[in-house]
Amino acid sequence: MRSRRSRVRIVVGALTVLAVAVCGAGGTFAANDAVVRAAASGAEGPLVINYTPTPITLDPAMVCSLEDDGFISSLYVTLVKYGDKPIPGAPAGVRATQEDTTKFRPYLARSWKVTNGGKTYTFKLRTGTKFPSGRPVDASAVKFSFDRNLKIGACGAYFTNAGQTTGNIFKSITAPNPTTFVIRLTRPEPLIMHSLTQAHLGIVDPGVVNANGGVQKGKPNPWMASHAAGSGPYVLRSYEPGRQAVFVANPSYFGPKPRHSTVIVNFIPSDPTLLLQARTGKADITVGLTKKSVSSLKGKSCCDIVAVDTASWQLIGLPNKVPPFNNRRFREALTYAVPYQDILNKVAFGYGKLYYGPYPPAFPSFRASIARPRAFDLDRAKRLVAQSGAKLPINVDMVIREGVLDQEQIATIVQGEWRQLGVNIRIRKLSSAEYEKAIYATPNKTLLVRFDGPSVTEPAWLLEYDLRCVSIFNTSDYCNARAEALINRARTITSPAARQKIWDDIARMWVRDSPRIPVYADTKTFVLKKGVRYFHFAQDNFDFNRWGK
Amino acid sequence: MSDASAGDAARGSVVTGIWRRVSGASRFVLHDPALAAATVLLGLLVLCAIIGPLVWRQDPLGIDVGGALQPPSTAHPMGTDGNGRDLFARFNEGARISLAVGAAVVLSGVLVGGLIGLAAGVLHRMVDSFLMRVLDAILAFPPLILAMAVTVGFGVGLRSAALGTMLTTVPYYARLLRSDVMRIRVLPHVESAVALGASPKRIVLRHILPHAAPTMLIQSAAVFGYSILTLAALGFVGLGAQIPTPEWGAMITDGLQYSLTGQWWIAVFPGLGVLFAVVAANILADRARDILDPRGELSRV
Repeated sequence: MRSRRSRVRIVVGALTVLAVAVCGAGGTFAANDAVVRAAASGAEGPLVINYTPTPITLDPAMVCSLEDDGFISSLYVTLVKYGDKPIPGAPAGVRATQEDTTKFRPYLARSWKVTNGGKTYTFKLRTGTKFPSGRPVDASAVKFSFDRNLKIGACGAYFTNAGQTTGNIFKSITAPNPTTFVIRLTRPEPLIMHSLTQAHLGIVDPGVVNANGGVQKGKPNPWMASHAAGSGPYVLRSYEPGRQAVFVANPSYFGPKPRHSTVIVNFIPSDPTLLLQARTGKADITVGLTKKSVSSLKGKSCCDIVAVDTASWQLIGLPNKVPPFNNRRFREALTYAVPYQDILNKVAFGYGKLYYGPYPPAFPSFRASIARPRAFDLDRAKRLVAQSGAKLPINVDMVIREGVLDQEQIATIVQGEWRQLGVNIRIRKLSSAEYEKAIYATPNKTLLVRFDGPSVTEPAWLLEYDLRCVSIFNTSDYCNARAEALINRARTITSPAARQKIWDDIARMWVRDSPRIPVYADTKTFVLKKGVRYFHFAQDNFDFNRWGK
Repeated sequence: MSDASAGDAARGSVVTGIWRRVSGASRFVLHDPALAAATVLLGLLVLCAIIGPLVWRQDPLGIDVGGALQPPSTAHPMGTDGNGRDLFARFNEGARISLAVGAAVVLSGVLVGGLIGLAAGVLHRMVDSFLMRVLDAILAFPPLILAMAVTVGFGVGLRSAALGTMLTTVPYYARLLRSDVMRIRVLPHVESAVALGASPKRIVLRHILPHAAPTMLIQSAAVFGYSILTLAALGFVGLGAQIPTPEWGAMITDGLQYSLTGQWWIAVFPGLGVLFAVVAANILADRARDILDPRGELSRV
């Protein structure tokens, strides 16, 4: 048996080894961190952004969610960009702007003209612009990018087609010379300029793409899912999915120098971790903190909060094709059984707006007189249920995305309220993949809680996927032939006043039909460490180059 | 003495006997602070489970969003959660669920595991080998992982979580009883009974099981605490009780999101429930072992 002295020696030795290992590891981490920080030129150091959720793909042809779009927009240039306007109520000392979706400004295209009754768009491109590979960012690269999106046929194709879910709006896409890019449409389409601002239409380097999997019809490019081939303000120095991405300034970028030559994006799914790091100043900008956590930072000396009204909303989807949800009166009843104001106060912590209609208040086409918020009135709800003739009790599933606490809370609240109407909800928490599958099932047989919003704040864009009977993105299977006919008519009209009348008519029909329940329109929040003085918000793009100290 | 007075005297002596035993047990418990604390804790939790919902009439599922995130007060002794639900009512309901599942797991372990262990110990060697190899296969999995796999396989929810927990405890009961049976069957008094022609049924019921009972009792006390902890763990990761069932583990998960924003009560109270239940059960298991094991400190042999 070992003596006591030798046991002590063994323990001390083990502890020493452990201490050396830890210090060594810490040194390694410190060294890695130093390498990254050394990549930053100048005294400003890197900009650290904590970000949730983790992007699914970096490929412009494949990105679908608002968060994924935003993440890649600093890596690619587009033909045009939206204008800017200030964010109302921004913190003192912070120059905070947001996109002005009524104005377009030159970007890769230095000018453009629209001819042939709105069916031909001719863009003149900047000269001398290059990809990091040295190849020119010219008209043939733009054509390649458009063709690629259409050939792969995923979300990129949807955006390239200006949000059309059926058919191809292009008659031709040509590059007659290196600085001229021409698209000819089958019909006038006012939304095309909006789609050209989106990251999905970011210009990719044809040489890099062809050297790494090329373009195959109907198939994604696996290499592009975790790499970038753009010419934006930043290039991707490193990318560890689910952990970290490091952006460094692109020396070939034609635009103004980014505020920070290095941007470190940490993917942190845990809300408490995000909050702690925001509070302790470990992150310069925090994106994706829950409203509850943001609310706890109000008035704290560590941080400023930028709140921007967006064209996104939390909604409860109703399966319009499944009895008794195919009964308009029954659907209407449910809309009166949601405590909207309480949810706004206690779930969204005041970061939102109430309304009841197809378009949220952030839409220029929104009309408060049509989309007045619905009251919470259980007695009225019960009367309407009785009038509808629905046989009670009703048992139905409600799907929510796992880990999204707002959705869980809304689902739990609605479950408690609708129980009083005789509607028994079983809440199913699904993984991201299962959730996506469930919400796009046709026909949809479940209730769903969903955070949604269009990339473009135009009713034509939204209704094209949200209201068309055949659209798989119409997750409530809402079908109104008259409203669809009005959308078709709007396509042929260019007069803003005439189009607005159509949007108003559709809104009235929608409110009467109650196809789903918008719980609140979202006010997106960003937490800025004190000292961060520049911030710009775009619905679909996070312009990291415009954020900084 | 008349018949009536003889009956009264008999009843009196029974009552006196019971009173003597109870006061003797109470002195024994009070003499041991840890045992006293464990008894009190478990007693309180049982009271919360049985009487709590009858005395405190708030609906554990009742939503009051306007009253969400209220700290503990006289109106809500444990505060309210993010949906305005009274946490004391949910705690009591959670106590019911945890204690009931704990009892069910113990019972199933004793019955199913006991039967397997008895069969392995009494029947032919081939039966013993087969049963033990099956149990070895189950024991190869870490218990919590196995419980999670069963829960996911049968569909997440409280029933599946209870089933998964039961499955993980059966092998331990079986092995314990088997080894006890193997030990007891060769004792002189059992061999004597066999030599005298006692039937196997009589031997098992009269000689083997009574001697194996203390082991099973000690194991049950430990398993009770383990099952509450496992159920809470499954609820914590979202595999156990589903929304809106007020199970302690799920309530802790719900409270975790408020850990840094000041609403500490949402996670702390159910956490204390789990802590007290498990600690009390473990102390009782330790004391049971000390009393019932002939080599134990407190054995009266």
